[in-house]
Amino acid sequence: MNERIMIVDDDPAVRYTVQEVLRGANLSAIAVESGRACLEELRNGFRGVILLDIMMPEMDGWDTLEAMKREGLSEGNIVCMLTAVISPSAELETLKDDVLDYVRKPFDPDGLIATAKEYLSYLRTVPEGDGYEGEDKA
Amino acid sequence: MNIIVIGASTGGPKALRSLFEFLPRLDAAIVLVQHMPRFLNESFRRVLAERTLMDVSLAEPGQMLEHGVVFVAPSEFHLVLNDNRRIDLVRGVKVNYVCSSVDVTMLSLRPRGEDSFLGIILTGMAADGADGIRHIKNLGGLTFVQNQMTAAVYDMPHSALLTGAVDFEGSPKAIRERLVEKFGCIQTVSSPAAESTPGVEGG
Amino acid sequence: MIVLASDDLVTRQAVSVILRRYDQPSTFVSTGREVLSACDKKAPPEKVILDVHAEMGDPISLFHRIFQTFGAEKTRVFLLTHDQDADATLPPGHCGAGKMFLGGLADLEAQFQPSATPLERFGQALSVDQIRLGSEDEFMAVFLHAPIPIYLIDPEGQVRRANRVKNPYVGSDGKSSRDIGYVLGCLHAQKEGRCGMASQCRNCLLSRIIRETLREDRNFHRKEISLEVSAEEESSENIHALVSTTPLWIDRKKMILLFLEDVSELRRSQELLAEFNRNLETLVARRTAEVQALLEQKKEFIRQLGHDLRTPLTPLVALLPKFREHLEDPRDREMLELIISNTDYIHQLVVRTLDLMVLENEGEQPELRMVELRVEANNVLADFAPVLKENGFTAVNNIEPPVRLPVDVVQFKELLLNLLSNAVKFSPAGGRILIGANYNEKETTLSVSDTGVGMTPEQLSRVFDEFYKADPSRHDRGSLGLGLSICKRIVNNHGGRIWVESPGLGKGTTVFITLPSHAPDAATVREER
Repeated sequence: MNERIMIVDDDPAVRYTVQEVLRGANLSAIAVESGRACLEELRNGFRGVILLDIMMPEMDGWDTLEAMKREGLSEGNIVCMLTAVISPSAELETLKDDVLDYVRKPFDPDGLIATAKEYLSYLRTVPEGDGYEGEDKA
Repeated sequence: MNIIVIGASTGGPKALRSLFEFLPRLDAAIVLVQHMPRFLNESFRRVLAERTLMDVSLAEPGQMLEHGVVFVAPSEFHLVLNDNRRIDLVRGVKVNYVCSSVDVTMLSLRPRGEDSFLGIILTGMAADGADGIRHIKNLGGLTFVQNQMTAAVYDMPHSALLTGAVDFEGSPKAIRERLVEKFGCIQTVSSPAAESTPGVEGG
Repeated sequence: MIVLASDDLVTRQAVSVILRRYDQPSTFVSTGREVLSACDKKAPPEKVILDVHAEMGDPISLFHRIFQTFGAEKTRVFLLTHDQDADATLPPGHCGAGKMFLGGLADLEAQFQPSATPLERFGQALSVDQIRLGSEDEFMAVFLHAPIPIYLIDPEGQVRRANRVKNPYVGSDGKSSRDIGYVLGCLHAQKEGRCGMASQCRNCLLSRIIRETLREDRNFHRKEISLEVSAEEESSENIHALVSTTPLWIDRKKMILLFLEDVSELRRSQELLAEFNRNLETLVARRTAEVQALLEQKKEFIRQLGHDLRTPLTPLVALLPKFREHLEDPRDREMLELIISNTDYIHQLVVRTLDLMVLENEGEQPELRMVELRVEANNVLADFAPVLKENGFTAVNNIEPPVRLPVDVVQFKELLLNLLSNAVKFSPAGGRILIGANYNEKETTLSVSDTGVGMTPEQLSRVFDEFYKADPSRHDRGSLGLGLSICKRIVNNHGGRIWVESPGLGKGTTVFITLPSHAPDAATVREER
């Protein structure tokens, strides 16, 4: 059940693209359009690899990350920023421990698949009970 | 003793994947500081161990460095080397916004007899590791950084580069080649000492 | 010739010093009478200086005899005194037609000073109030032609004479009066009928000057006054003027000669200047802030543009290749490859254009570091090796001996990579690339030569234009036409020069880059250990 991916992006074309590319590698991803919706999924028990857009209206990627930490929803998730912003802003500096990777749009499809697989492989080996409150819902 | 300290942050896991893929047991001890959330420590160690022929251990306090073994710094601790041999874990304030900090580990190295040092800075935001690289250079060690073309975020290698103390810049694959070239391999298949290390069992 | 009559040795010496200073030939005698015998009648002295304190006999009869002997037009008499009260010994009205001056040594010296304008000398002469003006014509000539307004005012404050004024007795209200305040257009004088009557006049410098010149026989020299005068449409404005006055006896009546220099314009300019200076700092701060804001805006724009261009490219770049597996028809596949290569091309174009903008934005201060040129070039060649190999190129690094120079490593690498990929792009497969360098104390010239297609002079003149492609029909996606303009930005950032030479089409191309061997003083260079 851990083998899950979530794409958070306000652009429907990007969400569709990510899902399609991953589907080609037999990977399924859920897609949400905002930081708020991402948090909702996390509250409902999602744990996995989160591909998080930075520039989004209302609540941007950094806000979403902060909210995840605040609500204790970070553990069990691997966050990879997926963004069209050329270089990461200073915000990333304080969130270095929480963001494992940074992928730029437009991305190379094989590279994205490799990234997703790489981080899924980490989650597969997370021992049970190591910070997995609320796991039963997922 | 040959001591390699590797620092990586954002984008690090993928760079390390290339660097450690089929890496033979080097005749050197590697201390690896990768910024990551704590719950990932053990799985990170496992994934790494699957790739390399070296032993990979999540560092425990009191552990002694050993050639052929990779020691992964656990999150929320600074890994400090005592007399270049004994590992101390210091639960401390964040340095460069992180804990573990690459700088803290690198700066704990001291000149000692025949010890030789190598510092490597891979992809990541900001400047953690730059002071450490300068320090290793001062100790007469070698210093490598990841190149811009392959780095997800080039800031950390760039900051290190700007110290003027970097010997080589290249892709993780190129760095791997240099490691093998420089240190060579240990012929023994596995190290019993590493296997008996309590830290390997995770937790 | 100038004749001095004095029996005092010190006076003689003092005068002789002055005269020598102005190259005036002189003769010295002891008494007034000797003056007459000292000079030839046919060569009258230009000036006779009489020491008032010397034994001279009756001064009046002496003047008459001097003027009779030499002619009043030719000889001037100067009465030298160091006692300002000596006037008393010379009753006015007895000087006849001769030109006569009275004063101390300084006044005497002033007579010879070329800096003294005719008007100033005129004023000095007039300050001897006891002496009547010898020639009214001369006075009138000077009076009328003086470059500034002059008013002759009687003790009642009425203007008796004025120069340079069309109708001197008509005030600005059109009514006629001779009152000085009225004539100058002072609002208060016009209201009260004459100068000095309104309550405001108590603080008015003009009315004080007129009063004191009359009452105390004082001269005023260029005192600045300010008058409120009526201007168009019932408004008023202030005029500023420098006023000089001197009491003057005319027909045994004490008058005032008043000189006026209008400095209103000057004062207005000065006020504006002062105001401007006061505002300048605020202005500079505001402008700096504006420029800062614009730069921020530009940065933000680039960020936003990058984001907005990259996002829609994402599905194109990621999804198009998926169709490769699904298409059977070779013609469809060909079409797809065309679409993919064009998408890649747009992608590269976006990335490179944004790179260029970022480079321009942050270009002012490269982060300089001393590097070994040969080693740096080797590093880049190593990075580039796969491309060289793929195209069968050989590259030779001829940089020798080792030279170190300050560069921004990242930008320098970008620079070399651009030049190498250009060399590969514009050479047939299997070409050769040569990297060389020349140094002197001041600068290092790096060259990258290829065995490629070369360039015409027309092409050479345009290679640094953005998006310029030597052959516009070339639509290969490797060529964006941005490489050399990026190189130029980088070289400019380093304070260097870049140029391209080619012997002609088919004969290869060499790019030269000259970089300073030392960092500018302001920049700090991180020194390698």
